[in-house]
Amino acid sequence: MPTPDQILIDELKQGKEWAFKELVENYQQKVYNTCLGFVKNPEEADDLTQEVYIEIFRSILKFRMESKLSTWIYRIAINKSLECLRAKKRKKRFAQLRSLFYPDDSVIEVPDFEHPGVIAENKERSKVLFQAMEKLPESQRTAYTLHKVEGLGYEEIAGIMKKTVSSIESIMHRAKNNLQKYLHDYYYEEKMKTASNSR
Amino acid sequence: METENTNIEEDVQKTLHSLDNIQKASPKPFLYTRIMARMERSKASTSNAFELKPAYRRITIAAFVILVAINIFTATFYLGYTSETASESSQEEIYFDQYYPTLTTIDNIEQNLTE
Repeated sequence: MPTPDQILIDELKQGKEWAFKELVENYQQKVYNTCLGFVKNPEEADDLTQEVYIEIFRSILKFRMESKLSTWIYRIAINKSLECLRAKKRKKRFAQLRSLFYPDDSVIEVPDFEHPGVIAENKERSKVLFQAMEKLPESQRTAYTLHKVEGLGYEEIAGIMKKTVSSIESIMHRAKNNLQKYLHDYYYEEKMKTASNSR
Repeated sequence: METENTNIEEDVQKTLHSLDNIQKASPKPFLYTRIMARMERSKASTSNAFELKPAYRRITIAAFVILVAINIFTATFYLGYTSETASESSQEEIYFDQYYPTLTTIDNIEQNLTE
């Protein structure tokens, strides 16, 4: 008995518009929330979400149901998000280099990000955490974002990242250690600043 | 000092847990409409892939003209050089032949002397 996802995929492969519309409706929150967790900007996340769906539309014939549909969609969303982050990093490096020769050109820093889904009392702390997550290596950042922002379990994350569950456990352990270190340094500096300002 | 470290540790732990119970964010309404519009725009831009904007058209034509001019100049220069070197080399052959005669030339001279 085919599953709803299998029926949807078959209809998508036949180019049925209603199937594509259903796919957009069923998965838009997952895709958008994942992209937002990486790029930390609602406009960019919306832009990326559209690109993810266009990629799905173009690549659906290549999808062979070797993994779940959601796994495949998450992979596309993560790849698009990471590509976007890499492009931004290159642009930032170029801008910094340029500012050496043109000192009046200032490098604009991205403002603090407030995820709309965070409860009010945690908003300030979550800004600090999202900034610390930027410093993680890609695999740690991906696993941590999927677990903490998207709420996925280790097994699902392992399927998306094509790793074993124990590998994901190890990645998460390293991610937490790194974040603790970054946050410790951050709060220590803040305390020093406060202490020197009060003198 | 110990109290300070404890406070910092507390801050670190609270921050690490700040994403607990986070709600998923949703995109703006009418995402499907935006996706379809974007796909239409993408189709339109690929069908006009070889149609250049006026500014780019002028630059392309100018670049093409310059390229052709360089080729003509290079060809003319090369042809002129080769014809010069051809006449030079034929002159060289004559001088070479006079001072370092070939067997054919020697035979010819001997024949002339005997006649």
